[in-house]
Amino acid sequence: MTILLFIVFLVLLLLGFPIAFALGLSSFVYILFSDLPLIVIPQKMYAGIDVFVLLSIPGFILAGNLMNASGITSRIIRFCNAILGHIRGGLGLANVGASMLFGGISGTAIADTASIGSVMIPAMEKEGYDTDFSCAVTATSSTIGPIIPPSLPMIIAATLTGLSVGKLFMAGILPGILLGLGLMLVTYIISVKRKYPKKTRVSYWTMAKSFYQAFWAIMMTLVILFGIIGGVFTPTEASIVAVIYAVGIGLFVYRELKLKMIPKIILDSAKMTAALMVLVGFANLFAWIMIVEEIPQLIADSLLNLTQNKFLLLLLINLLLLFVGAFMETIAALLILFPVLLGVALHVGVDPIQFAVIMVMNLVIGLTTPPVGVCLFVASSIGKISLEKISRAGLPFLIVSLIVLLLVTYIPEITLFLPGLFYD
Amino acid sequence: MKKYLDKILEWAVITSFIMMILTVILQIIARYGLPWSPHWTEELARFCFIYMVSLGAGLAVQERGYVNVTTLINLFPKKARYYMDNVILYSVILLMLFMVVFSIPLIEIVTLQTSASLKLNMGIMYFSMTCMGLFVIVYCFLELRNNFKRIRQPV
Repeated sequence: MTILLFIVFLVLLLLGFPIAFALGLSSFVYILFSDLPLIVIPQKMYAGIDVFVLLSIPGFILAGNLMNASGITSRIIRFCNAILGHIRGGLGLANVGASMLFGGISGTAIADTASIGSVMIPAMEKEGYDTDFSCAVTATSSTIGPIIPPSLPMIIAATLTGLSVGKLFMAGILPGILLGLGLMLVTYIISVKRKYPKKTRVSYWTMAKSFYQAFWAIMMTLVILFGIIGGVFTPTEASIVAVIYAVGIGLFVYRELKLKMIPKIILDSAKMTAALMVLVGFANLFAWIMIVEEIPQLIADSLLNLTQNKFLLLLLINLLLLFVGAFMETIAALLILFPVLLGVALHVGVDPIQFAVIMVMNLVIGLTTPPVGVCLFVASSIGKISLEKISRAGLPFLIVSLIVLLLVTYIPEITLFLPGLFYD
Repeated sequence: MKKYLDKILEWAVITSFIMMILTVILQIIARYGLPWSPHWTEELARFCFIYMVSLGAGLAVQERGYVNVTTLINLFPKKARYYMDNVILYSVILLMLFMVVFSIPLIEIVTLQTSASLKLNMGIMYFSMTCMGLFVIVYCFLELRNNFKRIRQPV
């Protein structure tokens, strides 16, 4: 009977049904065949959305879209170019650096790939970088975004389990930086081998000027982060502060945002939120059925029966999540699997904060895993190259991402050091 | 007709979003700058949020804003993809129809309760689910009509 739920879901997913409705329809079919009442459909949908922390999601999406409309992308890229451009492979390094800074603004890997890629891939091509390399750098580095705060997947993980959003945000910082540095190292080594160009060093004055421009974007992340950590405001309030901040910067500092652009930006952000929340609502229904059927317990038991060894268990979970992450949208996968797997992790003594970071990292690295990772698709369509080419070029980057993932999995301090410093 | 529906929904969504923002701003200001802080801000913000989502859910259908996995479906011929899209839209209509129908007894149950601080009838909150279902259905039908027009055009 329970197998019906999963089979219907997977079939619908593969047939191209939107994930939200695949979850809803499979739950619906299951309810029809069981003695559960149909009234749970609207009820669980409502219960899934009526959560105050979720209000921070439209806030962060809107703040990101406003910053984008203010021309933040080009400013961040200019700044990264100014400080990294004189090193060999400088544009590639700047691409990774921009993803690290931009991650604080957009919060989703796909948006990162699209907005940085559309500027960087043509620019790198013009300077003589191979297109497959440029696309691969763009796609893999965009996975840093959802790990560095503010991050939508982390907010979702917090909502699901009642973990502190502030702690999760802090926990993501070091892994994000580590991943960024790792990818920069690969970029540098390949650039030296292929003799990619370097630019002349810019003057300190230019560097300072470009820093001033990018400073406002970096400040936004810091205001959000320290506002939440310092207990000045809740995550939801922080997201709204970010909106006001973004409007202010766009109108008065960068002066590229026009008042009449704002309604359209609000509308687009609202539609994005609506689609995401329908997903959250139906995932809540799906998860509820799983709990009624005691499936999380079943999965936990069978995993624990397989092995009680923490090292092996985490490895198994990593493999499972990488596989799922390659197929499924990050937030959808998180909604279904995080509560299920958290129990297993807790059983072998993994800290829930660390586990949340491990899980988000797995799922976003899945986005760049061939042959199905969505970020690869986006980057390859911008660079107009085949999926095979970008997959091959992305391999060294993927390997480094996996190494960082293993470090984060097996060294708890990488995630827990900063939250411990600020919270306990 | 469709143009008016679009416009009305769009402005309703924008208004709810702005109201949500203003409510949260009031909450922050009240905590630090005002002698009193209203206890209803959180609830009002959630109310605006839920209506923003419910009214926007239909518009997102038009935008094709719902993420799906296209790996397999892209291997199909164009004609098959067209039929598949119609099957998806009809299935979503069916699902949402059940959501609308069963939101009514749900509203009847919760209508006896009032919300904690605004003293709003909870039926008003749950009515958002009826709206969500209805608008998603309407926009699925509009997409079906679009699909039909597209296939009849000589290529």
